[in-house]
Amino acid sequence: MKLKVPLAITIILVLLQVTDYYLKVPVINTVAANFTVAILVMSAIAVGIGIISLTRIHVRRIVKKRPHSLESAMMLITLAIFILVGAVLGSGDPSYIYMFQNIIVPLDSAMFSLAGFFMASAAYRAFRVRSREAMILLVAAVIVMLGQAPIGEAFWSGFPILSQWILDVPNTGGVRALIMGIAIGMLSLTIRMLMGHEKGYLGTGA
Amino acid sequence: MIVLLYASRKGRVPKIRKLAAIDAIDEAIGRATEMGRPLHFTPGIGDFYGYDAPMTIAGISVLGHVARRVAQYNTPLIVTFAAPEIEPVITDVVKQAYLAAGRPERFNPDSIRFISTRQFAYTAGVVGILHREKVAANLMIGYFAGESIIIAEAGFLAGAIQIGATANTYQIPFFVVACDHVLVSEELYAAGAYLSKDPVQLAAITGQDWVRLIAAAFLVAGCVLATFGISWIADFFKM
Repeated sequence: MKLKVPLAITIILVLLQVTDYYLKVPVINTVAANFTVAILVMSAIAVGIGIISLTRIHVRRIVKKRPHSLESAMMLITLAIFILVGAVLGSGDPSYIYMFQNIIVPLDSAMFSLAGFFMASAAYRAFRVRSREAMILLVAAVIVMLGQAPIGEAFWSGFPILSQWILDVPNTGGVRALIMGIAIGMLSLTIRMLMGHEKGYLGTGA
Repeated sequence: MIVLLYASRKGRVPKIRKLAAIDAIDEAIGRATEMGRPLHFTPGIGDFYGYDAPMTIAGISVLGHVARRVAQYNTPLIVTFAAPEIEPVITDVVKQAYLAAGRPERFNPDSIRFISTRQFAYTAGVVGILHREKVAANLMIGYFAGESIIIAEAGFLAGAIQIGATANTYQIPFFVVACDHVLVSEELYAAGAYLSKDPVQLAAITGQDWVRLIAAAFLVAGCVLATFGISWIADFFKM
C-alpha cells in the first residue's frame, strides 16, 4: 500500500501532463494547469521544511559543541535576520534590497568567479597528454583557443576558420549525438515510471 | 522498448553492456569504507518539475543503491541538495535503504542536508563540507549547472574519488575533465535500472539502445539520401 499509492499518483499525474501537452481538452488542460499551481504552493511549503531541517542540524551542532559551531551560529543569525526583515518589512523594502545587493550578490559573484580558476586547473590535468584521446583534446583545444583570441589570428589567419570548423562540425555533431541519447534515455525513464517499474525514487532502493 | 519490457516479464534476462562509471560506485564506497571517511552524494540543484526533474529522479534512484551499500559497510554518508522539496523523498529513500540493509539504527537524519535554494550558496556549502569533513568519495549524479566544475574541483582538492553524471550537455565536459568516472548522456537514466539488476528494467536499457541504433540508422540514411537530393526521411521527421 505504501508503494502502490505513490506509484498510482505518479502514473496518473504523468498521464495527465502528457495528455495536457498533446490534446486540447478543456477539462484536462484546466486540471493540469491547477496542478502546476499546486506544485508552486508545495515548493513554498517545502522551503519551510528545508529551513527547519537546516536549523535543526546547526542548532544540534552548537548545542553539542561540535567543531565549526561558530560558522553554524553565524548561519543561524543571518537566516534569522533575513527572515525577520523580509517578514516584517517585506522583500521590496529598501533595507532588504540593500542586504540582498550587498551580501548575497557579491557572495554569489565571488563563488561563481572561482569557476574560472577551477576550469584552468581542471583543463591542465585533462590536457596532459596521457593517451591518444587526450592528445586530440589538447590539439583541438589549442586551435579553438587560438581561434577565439586575437593573438591566434596574428600568428596565422587560418586559426579562426579552423576553430569555427571544429565548433560547427565535430563539436556540434558530438553534442547532437549526446542530446539524442539524452532524449531517448529520458523517454525510457518515463516509460519505466509509467509502467511502474522504476521505483528507486519511492524509497525501495535502486 | 515496450515489447522488450513485456518479453523480459517472461523471464528473459537481457544482456547489457558494462557501464564502467556505475561499476566504479562500489569502488568509491569501498575506498570511503577503507579510509573510514564519509561518502558525499548530491543529486545536484534540480527538483521534481521541469527539465531537471528526470535527472533528479535518476540521481535519487542511484542514491537508494548507494545508501544500502554504505549502510552494510557502516560508511558515513552525507547527502546534500539545493531543492527543499526533494528532502522528504531523499530522507525516505535513505531511511528505507538502511532498513533494507538491516541496519536502521545506523541511519543519521543529520546526514541529509538541505543547504540553500541559491545555486552558489549551495555550492559554497558543498565545497565547505567536502573540505571540512574530508570526504573520501564524491558522487555527483543528477542535475548540475555552473556549480559543477567548482564542486568537482573542490572534491579533487579534497582527495576524493569522484563520479559525475548529468544530462546537462554544457556541464558534461567539466565532469569529464574533473572526475575519475563519468556517466555520459543517457547512461544517467540507465543507472538506476542497471543497479537494480531487475530483468524488466534491464530490458528497458536494451530497448533504449535499440531505439538509439534505429535513430542513428535513420540519421545516416537521411544524410546519404539528402546528399543525392532525396529528402523524404528528413521531411517525415519534420512532421
